Amino acid sequence: MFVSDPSLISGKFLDSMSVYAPEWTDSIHHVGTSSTDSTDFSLYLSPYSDTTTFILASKSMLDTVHLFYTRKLILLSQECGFVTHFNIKSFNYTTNNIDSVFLIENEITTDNDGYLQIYF
Amino acid sequence: MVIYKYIFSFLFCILLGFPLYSQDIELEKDPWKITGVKIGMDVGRFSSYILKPEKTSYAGSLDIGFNNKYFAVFEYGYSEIHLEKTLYDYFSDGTFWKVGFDYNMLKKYPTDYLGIGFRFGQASFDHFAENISKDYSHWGSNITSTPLIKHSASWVEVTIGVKAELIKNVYFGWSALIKVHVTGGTDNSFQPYDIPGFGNPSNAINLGANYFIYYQIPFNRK
Repeated sequence: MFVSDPSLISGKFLDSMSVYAPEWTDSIHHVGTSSTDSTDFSLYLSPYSDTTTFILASKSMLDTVHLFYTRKLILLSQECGFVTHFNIKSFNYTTNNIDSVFLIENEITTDNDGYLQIYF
Repeated sequence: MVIYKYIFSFLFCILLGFPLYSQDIELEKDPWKITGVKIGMDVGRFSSYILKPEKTSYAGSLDIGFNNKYFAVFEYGYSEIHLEKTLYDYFSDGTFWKVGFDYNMLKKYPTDYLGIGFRFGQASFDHFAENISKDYSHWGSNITSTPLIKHSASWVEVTIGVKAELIKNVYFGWSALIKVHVTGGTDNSFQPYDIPGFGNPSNAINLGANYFIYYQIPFNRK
């Protein structure tokens, strides 16, 4: 899943933003520290639950994005085994830093990335 | 569309073949009588233990001969798959039946058989996978399984084969099969490994061979 803000020339105001999920054993996934950092990055939905919560932290402000989806086990091939495909049904979020969120692409498969735009 | 092309070709071949025998049928004066009932067991399945150790299957047949020329045929079988892969275990089991007829082209040795046949086959089976091992960055590893999924499938077959009487009323038969898939038994998300009686569901046409041993219960045998 990509989180993107293509209208931004600079991600500077997201200084030191971290993204993590409560279930992760490694807590920090991404930190943006300068204007040259890309505002696109990928996150993986939980393959073990129909809900994933991401927490976006920037300085002292926290925002939470909940994604609700369905999962389907797909047998990719006899040799490769099974993969999980997702279909995002809905989402909600807090608005401490976040201005708005748009779901651009809700199907996540081995051939297709989902796409979520988050505006701060 | 490909499958319809094959079905059409196959029906066309059969229809084309019938006129070749129409004169014989018209000249046939003998009244219809049952000349034998054969009970058969598919012994070719035993080779599966070596070639396909993940598959266990059994099949039997019953055919009723009329004037040693026409045979009504019924087959029934059971098939089970247990496939152990590195990332998952796969299980499937189900039954199939076939109904059809054989036509004996031999005239000189009417107790033996060299002929062609037609079958319609139907299978019902279910399958699932367990011990599906998954390992994702950030989310860790997990073992999961699929639900049990039921399928049914149908196909048609053309056979050409021989049956020879080894000892009195005991026959050995071999037949080559062309199986054309008609409906069911496929799933883009979780493709079955095998359709009982038909074979690989990914193929519109499967080729095969049967090896049967029959015991004939004689009726009106001279």
